[in-house]
Amino acid sequence: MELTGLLLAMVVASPVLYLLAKMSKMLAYVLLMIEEIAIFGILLLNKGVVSQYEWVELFGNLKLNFSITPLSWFLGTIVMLVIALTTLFMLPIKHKSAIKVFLFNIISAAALGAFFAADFFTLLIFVEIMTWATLIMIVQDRKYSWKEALKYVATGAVGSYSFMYAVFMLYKKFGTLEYSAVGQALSDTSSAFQITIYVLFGVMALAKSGAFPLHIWRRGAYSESPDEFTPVFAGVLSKIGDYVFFLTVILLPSVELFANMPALRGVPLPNYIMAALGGISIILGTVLAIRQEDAKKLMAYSSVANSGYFFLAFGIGGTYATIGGLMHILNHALATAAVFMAFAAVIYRTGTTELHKLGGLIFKMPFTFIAYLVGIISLAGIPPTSGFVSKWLIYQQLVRDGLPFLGFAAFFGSIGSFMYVFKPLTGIFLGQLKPEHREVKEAPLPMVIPMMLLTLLTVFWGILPSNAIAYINKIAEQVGTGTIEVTFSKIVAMTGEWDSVVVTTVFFVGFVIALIIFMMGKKAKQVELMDTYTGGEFIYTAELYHFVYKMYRPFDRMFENWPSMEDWLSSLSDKIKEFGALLRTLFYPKSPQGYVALGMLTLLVAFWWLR
Amino acid sequence: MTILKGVALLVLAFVYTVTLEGLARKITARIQRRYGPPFWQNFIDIFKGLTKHSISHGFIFDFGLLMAFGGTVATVLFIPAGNLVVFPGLDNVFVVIYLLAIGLLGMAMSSVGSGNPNAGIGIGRALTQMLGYELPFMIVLLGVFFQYRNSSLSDLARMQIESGNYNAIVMPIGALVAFISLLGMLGKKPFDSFIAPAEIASGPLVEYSGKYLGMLLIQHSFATFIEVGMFVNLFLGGGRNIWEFLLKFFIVYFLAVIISAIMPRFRVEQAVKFYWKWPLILSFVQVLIVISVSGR
Repeated sequence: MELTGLLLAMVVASPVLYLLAKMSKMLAYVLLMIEEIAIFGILLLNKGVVSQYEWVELFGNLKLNFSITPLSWFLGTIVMLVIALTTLFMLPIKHKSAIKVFLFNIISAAALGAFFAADFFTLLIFVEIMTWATLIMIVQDRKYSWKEALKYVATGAVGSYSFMYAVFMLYKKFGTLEYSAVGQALSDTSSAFQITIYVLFGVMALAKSGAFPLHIWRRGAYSESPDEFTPVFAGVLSKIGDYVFFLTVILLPSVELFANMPALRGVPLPNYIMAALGGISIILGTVLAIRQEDAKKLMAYSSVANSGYFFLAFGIGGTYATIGGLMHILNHALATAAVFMAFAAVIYRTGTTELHKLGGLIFKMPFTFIAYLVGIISLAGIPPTSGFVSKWLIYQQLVRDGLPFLGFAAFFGSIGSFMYVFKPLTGIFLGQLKPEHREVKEAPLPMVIPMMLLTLLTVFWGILPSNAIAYINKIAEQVGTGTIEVTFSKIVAMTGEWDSVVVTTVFFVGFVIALIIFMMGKKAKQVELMDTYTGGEFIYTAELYHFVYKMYRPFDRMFENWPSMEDWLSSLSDKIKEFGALLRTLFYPKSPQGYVALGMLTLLVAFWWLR
Repeated sequence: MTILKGVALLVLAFVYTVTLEGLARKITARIQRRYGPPFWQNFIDIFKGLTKHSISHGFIFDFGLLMAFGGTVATVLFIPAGNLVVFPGLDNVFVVIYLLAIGLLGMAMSSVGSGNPNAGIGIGRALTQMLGYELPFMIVLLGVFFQYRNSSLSDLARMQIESGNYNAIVMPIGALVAFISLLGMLGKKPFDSFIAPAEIASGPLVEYSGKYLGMLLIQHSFATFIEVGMFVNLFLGGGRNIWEFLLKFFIVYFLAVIISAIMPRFRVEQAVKFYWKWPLILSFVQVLIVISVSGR
């Protein structure tokens, strides 16, 4: 596969598509879709091709290196799958513009380049292109989105600069930036240098992945970005941070580097700290997600919680956690993309994601409901969806190593996710239909098809997770962590086996038993949703008879007085502004005489100092 | 053979738990100095419900119910009852907990799908309380799995019988915590705010009638069988045969009923705060003891 050719074609295609979109938007959108699906197809056909190495010379000895390994193929294909489905999804969307086509194409090329990069410099360049294109993408649709975009780029800059610093340090010391070469060279350096590199890479991973303490961009950036872009943004672009962390712990190999450091139950302290940050992300994201009243913001915090799982899994390392974490990348990409597509479809038809303004859409948009339902079942980790296996494997590692505090975080996120995924389910799809939504129709076909495909894939890898695990085993072989035993339907882990085919069959048997009992009873009389037990009251307004606003009020009360990081940051920024104002009064006098005096003073000081 | 065993287990779970629930009503009544219904009253309730007319609030109301019932029936099949084990080796505790969650999700969808806010309030409370009781329970389980390097219910029960030491003796604090969590799982007082009949009209159950209510009563007794059965297998060593298992089941269930009969009701955030205070601390204490003693 000519990977460099592919990337070059994508880069060249961007301005062409932009110009075409100036003439006909629909044509450009269709061409974009064909292009992305074709690239996804090419990747899919090249499944077996591995360890291919390619480069492009920019100038001098500056080269962009790419390689196709099982790991990069896995991530690149997931990215292209979600992107290709999204390009189909956005055909009917209302706000079409030429710049969106351009940016979408650039972002997909950059994401592909980043995951196929073979050295840190190439990775850095593509991540930066992706970040800046995303920044412009966020501000396209909504009026005040630039504020949130600023948060995104500021947090991203923290990560990028620390990463850049680490890359320069590595290049200065070793003269090479290739992943494996750096990994080997690092083992001979001092532990202070190793820790520095680890921390700098870790900051980058936390920032791009949106985990605690660099998670603040997530809520705003997801809720304000264009609806058709959010599935890609949340599903795959944030995975770059998790990928960086994976590289940090696996390719550097951190467990071996830090072997002589203090360790908690076999996990070296630096790794444990990152895993603990992941644990905090899980708890924080879960609690904040439960308290949101807007579906997109809620899911943004859910993504914070889920990125915590990656840090936890890759941080503690070990066979099960590593494979579980990689599997979780697949699940989370599919499920989040499906959920955000469902939200986009709801916005397309109703214009809002505020939960208390919606309700009862299940009878109007059943396919969107199914996509959302399967997505959240997978996010909550319930079988038979692919979400179960990854969490199960992570638990295996936590049990094996005996890590109760990280286990607490993992269980908290898992059980708490029932609470927050149920809120949009109630708010948007169940309950009373608002009178103004009586005429709402199902989302158009190009939107329904990608949602259904994602749903099918989630269920497929739920019933046959061994299929995905078998491929992930290849990655594990490549990077040198252990593999786990799988058969056609069974996965064998430390504390037991998981036979998803048997469990799914048993579930359907149970369902059939239920259906038989149900059919044997007398046929039920169909009544309206408003025709319910009201304790003798007469109620006519459906709007007031829908319970979702502040649904978890008792839970909210427990967390009301908790410190908020955003409050702290905004008060910090106020303090800096005040300090600036103070300086301004000192150094920006109101009258011309003042400037003259200040200028004289400066000159005198300069003269005295330079003398 | 698997099918026969499965049918036997389902019949056993149904008959035994519904009988026990009837007895529990009688005992609660006697504690409260009432006469109480006959112990077969619950059978009458269920079969009467199944044959009566009912109302439905649309397809999600029906589908959610089927999902709840199906999920719970499927979970029962993964609970070993003494030597009656349907899927040896596959009866992972994680499978049981997460498969049961399908049932819970179906139930939640169905009842909220009825459009009655009482159901929504009830489900909101139930999910909140779940976050309360599941956490200490899972932490204790982590300790148990760490100790035995196994999470299969039948294997755990067998190992306890072989070693002669029940987990309730080896890990008394953990067993206590798990029992308190069990009270929350069963929705017994003081942790029954999500069904609070006088306050939110039985919460999730408010809209069900006829065959819907009958099926939900069966589902509820199956859920009881799963939760108590899980505790018996994890901490009391299951049983060498069915009778031993049923006897232990009886003891645990009646302990819960007696406690429930004399308790007032917690508000839901009080319940969660309670679970996150003592049971959680104790569960961490237990796990740390297990890890430091048998630490490998």
